[in-house]
Amino acid sequence: MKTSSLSWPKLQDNLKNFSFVLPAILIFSVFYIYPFFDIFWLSFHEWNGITPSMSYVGLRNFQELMSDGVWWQSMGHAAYITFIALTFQNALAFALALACDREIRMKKFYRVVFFIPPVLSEVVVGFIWQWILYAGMQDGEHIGLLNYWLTKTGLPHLVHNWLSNPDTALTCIAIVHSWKGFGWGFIMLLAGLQTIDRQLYEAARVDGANSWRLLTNVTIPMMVPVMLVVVILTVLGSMQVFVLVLSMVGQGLGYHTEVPVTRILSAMTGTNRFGYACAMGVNFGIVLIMVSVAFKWLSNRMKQA
Amino acid sequence: MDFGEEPRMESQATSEFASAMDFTTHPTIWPYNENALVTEKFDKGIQSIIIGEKTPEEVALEVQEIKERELKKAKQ
Repeated sequence: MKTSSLSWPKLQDNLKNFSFVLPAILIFSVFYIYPFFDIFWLSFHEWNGITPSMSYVGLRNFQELMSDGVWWQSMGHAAYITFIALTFQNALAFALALACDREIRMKKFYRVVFFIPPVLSEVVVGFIWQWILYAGMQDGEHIGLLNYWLTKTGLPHLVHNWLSNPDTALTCIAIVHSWKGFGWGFIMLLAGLQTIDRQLYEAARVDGANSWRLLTNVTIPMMVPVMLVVVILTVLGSMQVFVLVLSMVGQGLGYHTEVPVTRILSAMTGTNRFGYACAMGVNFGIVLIMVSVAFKWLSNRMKQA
Repeated sequence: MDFGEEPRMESQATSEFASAMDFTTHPTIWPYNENALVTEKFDKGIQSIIIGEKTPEEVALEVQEIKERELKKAKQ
């Protein structure tokens, strides 16, 4: 018969081991687990964020959220930015990664240059692009670089109020977001391309495959797992964009440039509705999880195919 | 001077005044005492007027709608 393994020296040893991970557990609990559950708890309350008392309202915040047109409009705007990022940004990142994967001159220089925009602060990028797209004039000349350049190159009919027009403002933000973010995708896709065994290309060439067939039958199938990671990170990053929005157009332009995070910010600090803001956060988190799961499922289907 | 006794009348008056202010739009101290949702609708409405999306009348109607909704909610 076996004796109990929980002897005093072993217990002491376990306690000593546990004391090493205790700080990490405490930090994780205080800064991750507690806020996570607190957001759920607050979403069932009406609270202005200041008073010590809060009133329990059950699912009323969620019911109100379902009929909040501005919230769903902001979700649509985030989806639009995500769509531009998934297509334009990732296509650009993949094309540049393919180019840098080949034996070209100065490829290290290009790698550094393409990774500069992600390193820059979003506020800095936002203000720089705000100046580039600015539509104001001084002494009969455009101050904004794009409109100035369009005028000087004989294309004055293309001069536009890029950030003041509801039809173009969101697209401008989406393009700037893609410009800023493509470097991450570029680095990850380039790393993925470099892991593909060169013998596969040689074997395909021996079989008579041209460049297009190499891309579609070797490169893309081998890159599916990396592409999935890039796509999920792009979706999560683009849905949560807000610094660029605030730095490029501020709180202006009605509700045309509202994204979910600016709505949450507005509910929390503008209208002092903490409970409602938490309900927004919970709803937004669920949507992001659903989107990520959908992409994972799609990727598994693609791998099987 | 006796500070021990609570000035009941004043505190009741202050409380009533504070409650009344929740249902009042004062033209000279607006928007500091206005409901934040009404203020937001008003601000966004002005932006919509500037970009030519809405007329001032449309914005006024929307602000009125929000104000009435919030008053109704506060009275419940």
